Amino acid sequence: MFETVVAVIAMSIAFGLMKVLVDKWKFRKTMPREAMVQMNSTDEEMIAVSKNIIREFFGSDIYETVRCMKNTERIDLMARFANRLAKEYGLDTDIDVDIYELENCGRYIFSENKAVFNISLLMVDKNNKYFEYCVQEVIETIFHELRHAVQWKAVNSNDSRNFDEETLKAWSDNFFGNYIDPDVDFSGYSKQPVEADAMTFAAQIMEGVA
Amino acid sequence: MKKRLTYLYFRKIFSDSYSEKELVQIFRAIKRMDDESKSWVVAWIEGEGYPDVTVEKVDIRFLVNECKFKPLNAFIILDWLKKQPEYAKYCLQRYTPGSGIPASELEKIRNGNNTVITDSFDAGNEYIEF
Repeated sequence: MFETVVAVIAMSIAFGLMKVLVDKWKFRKTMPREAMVQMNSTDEEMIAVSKNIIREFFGSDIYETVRCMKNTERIDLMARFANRLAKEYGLDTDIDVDIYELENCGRYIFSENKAVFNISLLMVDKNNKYFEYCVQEVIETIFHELRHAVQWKAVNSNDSRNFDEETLKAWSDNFFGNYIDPDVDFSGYSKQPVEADAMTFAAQIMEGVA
Repeated sequence: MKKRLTYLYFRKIFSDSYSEKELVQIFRAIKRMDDESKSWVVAWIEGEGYPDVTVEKVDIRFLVNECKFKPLNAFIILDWLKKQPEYAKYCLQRYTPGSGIPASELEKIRNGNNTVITDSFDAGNEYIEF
């Protein structure tokens, strides 16, 4: 009972601002093509494979699949889904699925090589008018955070996966020197190399599947 | 005649709220604004309050009071909404407080070796004209 209450509180906090902005602009926006950064051929393959994994786990209708599940089943599914993706991306990242995080939808902890996904948004009632939005947000966040793990691995190992030197330098400079906090300059945060790349990667996977 | 807001004056006003690196990042963002947005920031700094202007159904008060952005960040966002409305809205809809890599985590991964990249920012000579 206590756990359920905490999860519902977490959901309402994480959901609060998004709901206001979805209402204000009527529907969930997609990432404009002109804002996306260039993906290389390996990225394109990863995107195609990721779309297939979505179908493997969620079938042809993501929302209906999740809608029919109990909360415990949703948590289990997302944990297996994230682990499967990490394996596919060649990551040895620890995956932790959390429903009590009060602030964000997910984060990659670089120093621990660990991805934590807050899926409290999935505790939303299946009839809630924002249900589809919540499901989409959780899935897109999983791709976004795992992409940070891929970037981090590329910057710190010889496994640079076809990323060109310019990209690796931009990511390295960004991680090690000039990262912009969203609470300081939200526009700069969104456009900086590691975030623009993670956003593009996740957005391209979600195109046409959700 | 154009007026100037120097970085040194800007730093003096906001140094209690931001680190040096953050101040440089914000100052650069203000420099990239269009003249109208710059004039809103300067008027606010001079104590004239928030502008009564709405962009894409959003105003500064909404960004500060409901979205909990700091005022300077809110001005930067309003300017971005003017220039790239669809991109800005996409990012804003996905924002939750606490997004991004926390400073403590950045500190750990840099292992004390912070490469502060200032791109030849000359604090003594930087200014914004409006």
